[in-house]
Amino acid sequence: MFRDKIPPTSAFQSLVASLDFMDSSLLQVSDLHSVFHVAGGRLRAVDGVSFEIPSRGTLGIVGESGCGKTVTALSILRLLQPPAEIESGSVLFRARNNAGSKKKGPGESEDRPALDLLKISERRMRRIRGAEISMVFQEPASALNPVLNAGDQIAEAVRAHEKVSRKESWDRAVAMMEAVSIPDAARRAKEYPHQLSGGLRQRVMIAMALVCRPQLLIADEPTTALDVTVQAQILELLQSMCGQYDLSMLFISHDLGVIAAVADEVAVMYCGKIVEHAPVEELFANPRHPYTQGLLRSLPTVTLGEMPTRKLEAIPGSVPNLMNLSVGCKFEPRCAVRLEECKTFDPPLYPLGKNHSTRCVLCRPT
Amino acid sequence: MPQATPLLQVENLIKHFPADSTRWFAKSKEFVHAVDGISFSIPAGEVFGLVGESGCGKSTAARLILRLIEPTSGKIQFDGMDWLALGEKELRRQRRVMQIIFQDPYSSLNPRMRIGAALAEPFEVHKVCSSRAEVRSRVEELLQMVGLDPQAFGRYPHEFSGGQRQRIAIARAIALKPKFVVADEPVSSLDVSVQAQIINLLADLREEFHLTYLFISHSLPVVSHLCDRIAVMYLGKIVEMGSRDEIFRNSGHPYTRVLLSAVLPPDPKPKSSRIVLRGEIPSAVKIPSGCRFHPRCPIADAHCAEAEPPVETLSATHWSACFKVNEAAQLTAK
Ligand SMILES: Nc1ncnc2c1ncn2[C@@H]1O[C@H](COP(=O)(O)OP(=O)(O)OP(=O)(O)O)[C@@H](O)[C@H]1O
Ligand SMILES: Nc1ncnc2c1ncn2[C@@H]1O[C@H](COP(=O)(O)OP(=O)(O)O)[C@@H](O)[C@H]1O
Ligand code: SF4
Ligand code: SF4
Ligand SMILES: [Mg+2]
Ligand SMILES: [Mg+2]
Repeated sequence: MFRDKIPPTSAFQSLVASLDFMDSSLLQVSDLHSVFHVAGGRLRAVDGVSFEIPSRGTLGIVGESGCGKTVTALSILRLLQPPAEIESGSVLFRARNNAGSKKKGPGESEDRPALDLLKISERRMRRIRGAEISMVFQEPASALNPVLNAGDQIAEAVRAHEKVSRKESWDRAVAMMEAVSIPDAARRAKEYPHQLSGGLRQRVMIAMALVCRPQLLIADEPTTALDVTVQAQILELLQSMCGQYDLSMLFISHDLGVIAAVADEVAVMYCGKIVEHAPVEELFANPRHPYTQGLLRSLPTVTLGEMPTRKLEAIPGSVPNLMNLSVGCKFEPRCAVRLEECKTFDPPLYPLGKNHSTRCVLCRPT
Repeated sequence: MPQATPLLQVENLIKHFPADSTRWFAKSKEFVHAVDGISFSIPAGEVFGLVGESGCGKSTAARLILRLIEPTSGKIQFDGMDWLALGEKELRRQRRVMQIIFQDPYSSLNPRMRIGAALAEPFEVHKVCSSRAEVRSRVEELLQMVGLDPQAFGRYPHEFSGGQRQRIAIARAIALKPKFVVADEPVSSLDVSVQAQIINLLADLREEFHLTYLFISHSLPVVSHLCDRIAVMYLGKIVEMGSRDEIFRNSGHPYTRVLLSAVLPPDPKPKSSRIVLRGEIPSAVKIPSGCRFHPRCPIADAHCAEAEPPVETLSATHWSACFKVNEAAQLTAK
């Protein structure tokens, strides 16, 4: 959808947003702006990002280091710490009527009101975090508490949201560890994070994220720190969990191959903005933004039985510093097909039909 | 394949570290088998790839070859010399012909040194220039060669992006026109859009200076573009070696095939063509019996746990250490 036209008054914005918040979506981010207050001004880490996450679907966000993926995720959960801050925008979320209840029946979603997560109280937000929306981080070692054993970490997540006994929460933890295919779960539950391998730690993180049956899982580069053979296991696990638990997922990665494997829809980010958004097949078959095209061409890829090529097509230059961006298209300094006007004109997302949109003047409707 | 005398020849190289030296109560007889008997040779002008998952011993092999650490046992011949027999002084003199590029361009440059000075250092240390003006022009030439602004002289490392810093590190490595360059994961910490630039730069420099590379990476797609021959390492040992075509089209080792099938192409269609392996790479302290890959191997049988597989020759340039090479060569995703 085409949201750059929405005037920037927030009351009007959330009204408009809730009007077109489609029944099929679980979460809708509109015109999100998040900044870092740094020496020399404001660094616009997330600069007007809008997207929807379909219920029981996966939206992939792909982009290079520093383009604002993690800040987007943390903004949704209101976990940004100073000097970072959400400046404006809305995050509409279709919360369950009462947190912790059973799975929703078919057709129930239409009745649930959409909350603007950026407006609710911190107390209410805490009931949503971990119970309705959970997050899995890139580096499981730093996201887990080093002095709690695996079982206690997960049990604590249960008790944070539900009134259950220690015994019951421990049993739930072990059951969840079994569900994420941790071999010998009852024994592993008593082990501390440093005793677990990278892959097992990530499984514990996933168990902890899913134990309260959230509706949405935000996975921020969940496999980047892992070896490829372990990455394959974790991706398989996440996909089977999505099916089993009716999960929606926001999956963040810098790896186009991973995104192709897990996402239903893809948003490509560059310098704090979404530059292209499309269903996954469409994006890979028919990329329209010069940055997306360049990324795809520059990837070293080869699989079993294929002949590798010799020379790669690289994108010249590098990702610019967000503190001194030009006024025009942020990709202009590196773009091979730039026009004169791209220096001064920053294009909006132009719709291309079939849910496909791209931020490039070459795709401007005539 | 050039069959001249190899520039580098490594024979049964072994490095065992004492295990867990931080824990005084640890059993003192335990060792990390970081590199557990590897042999290969690299003819002049070749790019040789060493691939494997983290912890399999790639960086340890690199540090041994550069003599940043000393091996437990084994032989290294370099440029006709008994490399391990060189004394401190002779080694320092020879260092200029063998250079390394590290994974992390941040830590390999001194943050307080302007890049002009960092790049001038090799010329000054080895006294190859007769004047400061000559040093300066050599540095400018270097900057140009690696695609940086020659006027970038007076800037500090933090003023450069990751890719640019890696270019500076490469410039430093090639400053004295070495014969041999070890590149240890040179693109792993870089942005996707910049990785290709650095791979292409390494390819261009190879042409221009007839360089020989040992190119280390955990990623088969990355090595595929540059390497002539590839060795796949698992838990301290090379399990398969072959030309690039042989490894990609005709691999005869289950582990290589698993690594290849774990590569996710940027294409959403073939979603189910992965061989998903169980478990993770075991600790290098307790090496599994028999074939060290057997606990994870999708086609292992009882025999694999008992005896170490011999090297099966598949062609003049291709071998695999597996009892079941024929079955391995058929292994594809279910
Ligand atoms: N503590 C901070 N202070 C100032 N700027 C920051 C800080 N943390 C992040 N940033 C900036 O915010 C921008 C977005 O960062 P973010 O962490 O969202 O990137 P990302 O897309 O998740 O990257 P990566 O792939 O490296 O994880 C970057 O330009 C980064 O430099
Ligand atoms: N100085 C050291 N002391 C003890 N163990 C080490 C040391 N250096 C490396 N190792 C161990 O040796 C193995 C191989 O490490 P390394 O060569 O760095 O692997 P790679 O580069 O393939 O990721 C690992 O198990 C690692 O933990
Ligand atoms: S708007 Fe111009 S500079 Fe930006 S991507 Fe399109 S053509 Fe390139
Ligand atoms: S020797 Fe046996 S365990 Fe080892 S790779 Fe071959 S089949 Fe697998
Ligand atoms: Mg991030
Ligand atoms: Mg290493």
